[in-house]
Amino acid sequence: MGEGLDVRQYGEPVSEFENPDISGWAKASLIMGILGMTVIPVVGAVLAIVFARIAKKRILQTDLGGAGLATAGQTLGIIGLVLVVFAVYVIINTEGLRKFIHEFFDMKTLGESIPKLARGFLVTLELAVISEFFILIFGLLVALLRISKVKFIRFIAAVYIDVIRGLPLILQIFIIYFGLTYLGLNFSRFVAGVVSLTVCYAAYEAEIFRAGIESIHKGQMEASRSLGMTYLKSMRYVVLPQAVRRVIPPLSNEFIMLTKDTALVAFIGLSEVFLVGKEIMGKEFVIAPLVGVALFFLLVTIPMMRGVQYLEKRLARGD
Amino acid sequence: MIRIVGLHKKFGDFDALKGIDLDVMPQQVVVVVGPSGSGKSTMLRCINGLEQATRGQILVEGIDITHRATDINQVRQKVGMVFQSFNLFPHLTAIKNVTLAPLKVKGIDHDEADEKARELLKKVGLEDKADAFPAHLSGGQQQRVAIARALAMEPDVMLFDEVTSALDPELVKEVLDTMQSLAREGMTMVVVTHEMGFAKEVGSRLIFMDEGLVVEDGLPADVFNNPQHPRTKEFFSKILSHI
Repeated sequence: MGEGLDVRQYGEPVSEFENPDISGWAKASLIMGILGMTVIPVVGAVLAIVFARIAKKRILQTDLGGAGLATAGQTLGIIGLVLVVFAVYVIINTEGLRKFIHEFFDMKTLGESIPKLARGFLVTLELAVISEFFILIFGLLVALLRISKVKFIRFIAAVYIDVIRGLPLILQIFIIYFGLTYLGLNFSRFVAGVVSLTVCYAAYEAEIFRAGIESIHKGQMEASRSLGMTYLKSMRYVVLPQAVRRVIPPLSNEFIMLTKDTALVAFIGLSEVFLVGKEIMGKEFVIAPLVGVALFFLLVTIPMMRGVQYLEKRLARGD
Repeated sequence: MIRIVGLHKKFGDFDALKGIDLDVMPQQVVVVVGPSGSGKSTMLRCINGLEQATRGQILVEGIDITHRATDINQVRQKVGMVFQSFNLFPHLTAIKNVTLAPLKVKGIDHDEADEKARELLKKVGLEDKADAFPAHLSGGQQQRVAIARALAMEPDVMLFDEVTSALDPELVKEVLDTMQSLAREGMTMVVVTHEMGFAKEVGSRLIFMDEGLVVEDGLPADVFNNPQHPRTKEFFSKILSHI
């Protein structure tokens, strides 16, 4: 045995390895563990567990001690969390929560209202799809007017876009429905809905189309024109095919918003799904029907959102 | 074929062209050289109406394109243009790029357009790339497709706007070779370029432009070896010193 080698006998202290510094994290963990079971539930317990993990890592990497304290703190933290879960369970079985579930998720009323809601939702979908058809056509048209060489045409288009985008949709729906009725024109509520949604969304989509068109390199139009193609033919065969592809994601998002905005047409009395839900609620005095309305919307909006994400990925690959 | 009289072009306050007089005869290969900003490209773009002249007259085969009543689309069918950045239509295959204008402008029958397009692609050496998309072609290949596309309308004159400037040096030759064979077939060409070798080999006329004016105009050999104007001398000494 050479010098400088301190062979440790069991229980015997070895010079500089005895009485190591105890990790501060370990001490903190223990304190948090105690607090977590008493004055600071949940937060204290979680911190105790977190601190303990940090402490153990530090201890492994350095010469610090305190592993035992860290374990103790972690254990107290876990116990503290368990106590909280137990408490929550107790609360759930009391009146307050029962009442909430009864109000919002009354299965009986919900079940009974499904057929009526479904019919209303068909109207919602019709309104959305038919409006979208006109919106795309009109929106593209306005976009082309907005970039016209004729200053006056550009001006008119800009005014239209600014005014419509500056007003709430609900106001536009009212103005179009009531205003035109006062003028003697007889519109069905559904038609008024389509018209106001079209007028409104076309303004937004015109700007989207315009951005798409302007994002196409000027050289495309130049090359096309220098082959003798007219402006319109160049748009049709060269610029728009490229531009439209680029704006499909934002346009899809607009369609999702449109689907939701159809609910506003309820305020002029069209029996789309939201109005139907409100009426059932008025009769039965529970909110459950509105939960049903929500479920119908989510049934289409969420898949559409995933669809748009998928589209975006595929289109990005192509470019 | 092309007559330019007193052509002026202003961009805002900037005088790009200060009075160009030029006559291009059929079958001539006019090479235009000069420093950046000399107005070479602007002049070229005025010829097919991509830029509007501020003052002056441009007659293409006798038709005054500076006149308001002229149907520029008709004139453009007779003037083909090839661009520095190729400007191929990325959503169409090579052959569809070539057939688009003949089909939609001239109303040619589909099979006939297809056949002619294949011949043109063969002429530029790319018949096996007919169904490739521009994204899958090299720069030199894209430019050759662009040449075929311009030729598809059977123009009487072809304009080339620095068509090799954006190419890798290795790809320049294939494009210049294509242009040379075009010249041999008797096509009237106006070529803006920095490729002096091409000017000497293929050009039948060399024009040096500087600051919006034609400074010198003559046979390539003459202008190269015996420049008259001091600015011309200066330009060539700088360029040719590091070829």
